[in-house]
Amino acid sequence: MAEEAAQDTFVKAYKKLSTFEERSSLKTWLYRIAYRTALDYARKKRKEVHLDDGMSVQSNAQSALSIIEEKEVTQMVNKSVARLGVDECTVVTLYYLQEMSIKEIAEITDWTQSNIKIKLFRARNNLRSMLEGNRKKLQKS
Amino acid sequence: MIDYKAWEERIWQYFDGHLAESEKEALLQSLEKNDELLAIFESCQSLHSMLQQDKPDQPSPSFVSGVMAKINSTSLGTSGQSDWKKAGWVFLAAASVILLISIYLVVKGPESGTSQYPVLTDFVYNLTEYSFFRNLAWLSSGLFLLMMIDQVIIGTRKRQRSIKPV
Repeated sequence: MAEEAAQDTFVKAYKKLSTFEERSSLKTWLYRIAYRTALDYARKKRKEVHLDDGMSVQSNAQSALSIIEEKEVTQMVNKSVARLGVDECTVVTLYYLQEMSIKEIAEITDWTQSNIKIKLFRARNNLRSMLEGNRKKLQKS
Repeated sequence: MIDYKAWEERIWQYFDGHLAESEKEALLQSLEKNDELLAIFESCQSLHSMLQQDKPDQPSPSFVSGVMAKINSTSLGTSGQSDWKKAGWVFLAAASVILLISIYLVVKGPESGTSQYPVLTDFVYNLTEYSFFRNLAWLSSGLFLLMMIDQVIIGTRKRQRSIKPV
């Protein structure tokens, strides 16, 4: 699905290239198209996993890295990111995987910078809770 | 009672590099004094490093051919629309040329030695007695004005929408 969305992004960009007015960088313009396309796909196909916003911090939290192998950790992180809500997943992907600044993300998504910071904060807390949950399951098994 | 949420925010600001030196020192000192905070810090640190090491998926080898196939199929689908647009422009250009030639011939007057206008203009002149051209001129001006509005205002809106396609 991700690849299909990426392909559609390039098709849309190709069709709309003549309307690009250089008010933003080409990179931002392309990412905006990618973001909108991904949203469309997400709306059509994805079932969101809603998590509680109020995450309590576990007092005896330990490093998840110390328990699981690195590859498994990467897979687990990717799965956890995919389980986030669309907005949080978008922010985490752009911030970490695409190494974008908050300002760049704001240009792409039309969200305010403070809104993005809040989404990022929630996303990371949710991810942390998910990973802690996985760690506990592993400890039990 | 420690406000963990506020501390978490501060810890993430630390990892994002948004804390001043003095704030960093204060945070690190607090971590030394409080084991629970230290545990949160380590948990955040491990997640932060995991996310930083994460890499985006690479496209499959058939990605480019897939894009090209989609472009080819969509350009076939939209060709009819552009043909209509072209036909509209050709029609308007032809109408304006005919209008200009007719006006020129009427202004020039009948051919010397005769009281006859050239064929097309004579026909038009006799048919409408000048009012036709007046109306045609008004109509053409209106049309050109509408076209300008379409190009300048609506065209701009279309371009703006296309920057953030939905």
